[in-house]
Amino acid sequence: MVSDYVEDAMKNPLESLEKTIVLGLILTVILVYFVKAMA
Amino acid sequence: MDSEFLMFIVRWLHVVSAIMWIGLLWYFNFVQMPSMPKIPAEQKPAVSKVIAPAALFWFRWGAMSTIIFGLILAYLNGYLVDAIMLGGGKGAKVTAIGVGMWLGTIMWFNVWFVIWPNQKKALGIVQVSPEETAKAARTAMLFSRTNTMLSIPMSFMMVSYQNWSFM
Repeated sequence: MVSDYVEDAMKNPLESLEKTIVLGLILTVILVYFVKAMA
Repeated sequence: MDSEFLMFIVRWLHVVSAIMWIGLLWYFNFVQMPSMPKIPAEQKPAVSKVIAPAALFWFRWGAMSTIIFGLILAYLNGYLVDAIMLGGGKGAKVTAIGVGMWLGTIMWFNVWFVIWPNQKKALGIVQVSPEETAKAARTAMLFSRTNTMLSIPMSFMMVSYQNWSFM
């Protein structure tokens, strides 16, 4: 069970559609702050 | 032709091209990829030999059309160079659209120079060894997922130009 969890966690997050969307949302927030800092 | 009308036509062509491109990107990632393991082996060629090549044609030319009309639109708006320079002191809106343009450009590059060459191998349009076919399919999948991830901030930044004051 634990090894399954570790194996899953070690996978490239882009293999999961859900993780891809979460990463996209996190990147959006980071870039909003980047734009605010640049302006 | 009136310049306002020209700008409207170019913006409309940019948006409909982007719908074609990102619509098919999301079709691949939200529908086709998760469905493939559920399709019986004898039916898989319907997707890999018929549907996927047709979808990839409109996908890559949608990407090309989006970037061309997008660059023309930025030029007509007078912020092409400032946006590429991520603002150039012209305010947050121009920085935001510049970030969106860079993300879109990275995505366009991935489509034409990573996803399409690898999909040709993965789908058997170009004949390669079975090991190379599997490697190409994985590379195409990961870069397609990368573009899906980037499509979220890219569309956010593009649309936020209209309403940046709320940020």
